[in-house]
Amino acid sequence: MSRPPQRRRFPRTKVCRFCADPQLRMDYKEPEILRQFITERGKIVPRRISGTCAKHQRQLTTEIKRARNIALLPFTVTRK
Amino acid sequence: MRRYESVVILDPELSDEEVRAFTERYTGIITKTGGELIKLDDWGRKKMAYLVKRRDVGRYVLFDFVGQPEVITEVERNFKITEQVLKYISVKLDDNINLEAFKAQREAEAAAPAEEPVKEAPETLAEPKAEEETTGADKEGESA
Repeated sequence: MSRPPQRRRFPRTKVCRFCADPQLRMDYKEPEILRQFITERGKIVPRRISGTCAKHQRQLTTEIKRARNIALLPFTVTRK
Repeated sequence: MRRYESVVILDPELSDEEVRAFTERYTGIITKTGGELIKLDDWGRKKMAYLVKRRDVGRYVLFDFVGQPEVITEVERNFKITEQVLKYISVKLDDNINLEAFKAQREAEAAAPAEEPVKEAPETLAEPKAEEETTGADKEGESA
């Protein structure tokens, strides 16, 4: 029994954008930057998708959560 | 001394006069409790991501100040009882700041390259990551 041929996927190697570009700072007061790291529904994009390194992902989550608290970013976006 | 930063969302219907009165009142509170205001920034009216107290626009004001922990408790206590404040967030930027050294550094930066963005200074100073936050929960209208 052989399994159906599986297509191997070759994901592009992702680099943490904050490591690659030290100029790029995350700040809860600048929702434009943070907006690139949330989905259309307002969820935080996981590391395995965005490629952000662990350290920066941690900082990113706190900044996104702060931004949510002062209504610069949404908690949820519900739209049909 | 600690360095704090508070972003306050005010009622958008306030006139510029009223906003000025508000900021002056809080500057007074900060200095009266032994703190010092570093920066005051009015971002103007902004569309909010969700409704806060049934409003979708807010007037954002930023306070950046230095002081003992009593300052922040007093400032936040006042935010809570002021009706114009829809919501606020306070972040501790630095646990142990030397005000004199900080000022000297800032002046040096201001004196040297004029086009140097002033924003850079607070950013690097905030580096020792000791941040803490408290948020004013609003009673209603959290839903999107």
